[in-house]
Amino acid sequence: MTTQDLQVKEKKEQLQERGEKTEVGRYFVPLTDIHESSDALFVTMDMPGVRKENVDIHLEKNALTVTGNIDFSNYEDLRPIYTEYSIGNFTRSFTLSSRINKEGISAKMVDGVLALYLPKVKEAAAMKIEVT
Amino acid sequence: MVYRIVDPFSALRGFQQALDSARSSDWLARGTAGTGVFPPINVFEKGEDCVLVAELPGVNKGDIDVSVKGKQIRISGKREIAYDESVSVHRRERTSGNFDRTLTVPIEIESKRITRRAY
Repeated sequence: MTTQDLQVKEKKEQLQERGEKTEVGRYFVPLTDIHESSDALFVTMDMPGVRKENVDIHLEKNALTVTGNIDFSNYEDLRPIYTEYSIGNFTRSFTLSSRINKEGISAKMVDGVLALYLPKVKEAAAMKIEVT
Repeated sequence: MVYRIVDPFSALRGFQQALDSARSSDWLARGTAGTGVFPPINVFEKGEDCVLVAELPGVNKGDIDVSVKGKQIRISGKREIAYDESVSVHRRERTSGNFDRTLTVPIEIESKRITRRAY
């Protein structure tokens, strides 16, 4: 694998297409990777500044919504003098194509990255079909 | 102006506006540092001192190298993202790679007093 230099990506703001937020303040869209194995979906989201206790994961039918709130108390007594990015809470929703076993969902937060493990319901797991 | 948290939500909005108004201010103007180099950095004043905050999700604290020489601060390291080869990709927005950024700040840095932490 070739290593390249990382580029700055301007944080994308969450537009209020899917219903208004009840809280004020801007929400950002976390950069996300989604991978699938034969029996699970893996969702990985960049949420810098979010602690694991401030993450809310909501799955209803096949609509997955993840919200992460930043710990704003870190910024108490700080006065901005030069800035290149804004801070705010993160939110993003996905419609999952596979049925997920809700009880088996697990999540972990390491270095500001949220990793979600969403196991598929057994019958939805990929089957190899033999042609005779 | 100092932000006190009375109502955390309106305080956040006020703080977001304050961040916007300091967007690319001329604080670094006489230095050679350019904007748009990874990682993005915010600089704050805290009493007599300065706080630099950089967004580096997915980079372990031990993999971030910070060195200071005179008025220059250099932040470098590597962000590695690895997935099992057996998985198929639906979406890939996160990128891996190296970063190396040097800022020349218009203040005298007392290198012995530098501290670092995760936010």
